[in-house]
Amino acid sequence: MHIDPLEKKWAQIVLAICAFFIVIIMFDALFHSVNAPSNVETIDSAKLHLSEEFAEDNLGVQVDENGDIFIRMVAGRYSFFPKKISVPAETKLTFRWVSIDVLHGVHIPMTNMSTMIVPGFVAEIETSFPKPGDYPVLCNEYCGLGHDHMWSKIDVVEKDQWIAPQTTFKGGDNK
Amino acid sequence: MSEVSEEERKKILESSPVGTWVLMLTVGASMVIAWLFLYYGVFLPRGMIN
Amino acid sequence: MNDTTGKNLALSHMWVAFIAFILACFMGEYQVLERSGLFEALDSPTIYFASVSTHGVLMAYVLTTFFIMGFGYYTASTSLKVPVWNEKLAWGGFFLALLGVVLAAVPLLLGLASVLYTFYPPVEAHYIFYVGATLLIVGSWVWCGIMIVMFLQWKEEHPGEPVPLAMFATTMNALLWLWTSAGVALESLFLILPWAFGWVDTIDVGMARTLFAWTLHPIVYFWLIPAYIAFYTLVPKHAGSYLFSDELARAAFIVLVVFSLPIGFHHLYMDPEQAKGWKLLHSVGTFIVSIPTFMTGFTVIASLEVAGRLRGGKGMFGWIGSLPWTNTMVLSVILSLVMLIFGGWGGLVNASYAMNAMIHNTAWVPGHFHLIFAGTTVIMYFSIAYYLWPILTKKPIYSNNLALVQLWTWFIGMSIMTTPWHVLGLLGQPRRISSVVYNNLITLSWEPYELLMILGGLILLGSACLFVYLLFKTQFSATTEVYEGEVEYAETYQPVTNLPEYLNDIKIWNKVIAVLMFISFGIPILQFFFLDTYDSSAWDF
Repeated sequence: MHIDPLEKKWAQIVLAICAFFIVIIMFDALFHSVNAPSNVETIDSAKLHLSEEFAEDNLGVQVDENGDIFIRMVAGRYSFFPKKISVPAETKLTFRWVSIDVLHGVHIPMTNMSTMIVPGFVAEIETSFPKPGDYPVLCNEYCGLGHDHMWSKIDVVEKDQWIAPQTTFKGGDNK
Repeated sequence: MSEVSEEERKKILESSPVGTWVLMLTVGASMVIAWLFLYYGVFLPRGMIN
Repeated sequence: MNDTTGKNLALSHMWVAFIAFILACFMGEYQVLERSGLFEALDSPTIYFASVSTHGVLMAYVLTTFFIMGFGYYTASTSLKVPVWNEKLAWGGFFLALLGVVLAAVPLLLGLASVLYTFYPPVEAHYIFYVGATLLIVGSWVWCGIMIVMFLQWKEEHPGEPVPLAMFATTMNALLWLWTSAGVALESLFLILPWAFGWVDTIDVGMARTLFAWTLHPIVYFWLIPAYIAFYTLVPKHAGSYLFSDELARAAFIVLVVFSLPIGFHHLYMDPEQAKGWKLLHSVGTFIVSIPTFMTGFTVIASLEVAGRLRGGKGMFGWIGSLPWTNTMVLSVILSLVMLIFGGWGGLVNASYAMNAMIHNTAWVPGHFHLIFAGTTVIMYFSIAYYLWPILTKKPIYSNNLALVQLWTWFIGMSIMTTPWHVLGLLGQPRRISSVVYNNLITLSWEPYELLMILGGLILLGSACLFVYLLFKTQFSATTEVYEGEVEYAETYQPVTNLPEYLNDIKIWNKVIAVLMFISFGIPILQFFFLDTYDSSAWDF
């Protein structure tokens, strides 16, 4: 196959550009834990009221015995529950999201807290918020005619000013 | 629009496209720089994700 | 050659496409106006979401499929110089697909199928909508079959000869569509229809999303390939020169088709039902599929450079100015390539695995696909139409100047509409909302961009009306002028000799695709049969 010499050089450059992007992404995925949230874990969305982990008084922000912060949230038309939560800035947070009804998406603007919430699955994501502030928690997948109104609030507080909530921790796995 | 001679015509049809080469290099480099700007300047500073 | 059949098939399919297009354009402008919140009288989620669903179906399924089929039938008969095979079957496919459109349109317009063009369960539409969508897809398979039969028959009758590039690419696209639509067809036949008909009570949402993701990426290449066919086989002649490389063109179409398929998980990066190993695998494939586009850029621009230099353009870039900018095919490829640079770059960002979190399901996403599809691809659909209409109707184009105005305004409107749309995404605005009601200061930063989008949309609407007007006037104006012309395909400067069989055959690539699809989707789909999943019942919207 005949190929013009400049076009051949271009092909090599294009391969190098693609390899460059792939290497950065792979390296960060494998060595810096920069990953898309991919914890595959099932749950019965129709029976959440019977679940121990996602029982109403177990929702929201909790600190476990290791000092790790877990936030359990339920998505359902048309809000996220609990509707207002408070977390420390610059700290690793593990969110666990479930849906009680249909497909939702959740994103906190200007942060990397972004995941789909698929009924039947627990969406788990580890993230952190560098900048303190009052952020909205927005649904970004069409879930019905009230989708525009589906949002809640999260207050990201300076790390040394955040006070951990006084609740008893009730297990990390869904049952 | 000027006419090209028969000999100029042959030369054009047999030579490598330098303008395209420079254009594509510029486009490629701009894309890489813009991607790096978004990845290191916007995405990663927004916090960890795993 | 008597190709009346080819002509009638082309015209019928393309009119369905463009009528769907113009109706959807009005809906689009309504949507951007409604969403801005400036006109309280328009405020209505019910109408908005019915409009978005209809707009999406018309633009993503009707405009595209019908245009591609019509263009494909005409390309097949003119490039191979044979009549369309089995004319009755071709019309059968047309009417089946059209029936599907009508069946889907009724519930859509009545607000009974406001599930958007992605129709993710467990939100459920009226079952007639799903039946209509399925029939449209099945009707299009008839076209695929005819393209493949014509390709194979020609090869048998011309052993050892290169299949004309336009038909090679069209047939690869038909193969692509069969593989692509299999995902949504499986979802429809095994998951959605039984559930929508009430034969089963629940549906596996994770599997449905995965099967739809199978279709969702390669479908955009199904739409894009006809634009690339114009780039390679029509543009060079219009510019006054030759196709820079026939072999690389074939290689580009092959890599596009093969690698657009096993990469659907970049639509599922933020999903919890697939693991990161598979997502990383699909991300590698997604970067690979950018390669044929980078190469297409080079080949097409090189063909233009030769053309410009032959017209007297001097120096490094003088050839750009000396191109025939008043030729609609040439103007459209220039504007299309500009939009491809920005739209393609946006695609690289979307492909980047974890970085997808920055823009997933934000306004960036519709910004991206309007730029790359409504911009890069559809502007070429316009110029293909401007080229074919005089040939098909035997009447000269109603006004070349107005056609140039139409193309420029489409480009300008698209730039004004999609640039702010991307910014809104980076500022966190979600997609698929009909109004902004969040009580948070960040929404104030969104307002100026919403206004710009209204302006962009208005320009686009005017441009779309002008486009349909020009086709209508060309075909139906009472002129006595007769246009005699046939499709002229670009040639290479040196004739193609010793074309390797792998650049002239579809069967081998069919096998490669099968292997790659098994590797990329096999376990991710099979897992749903082994995981303890809890299916969802239906929910209304």
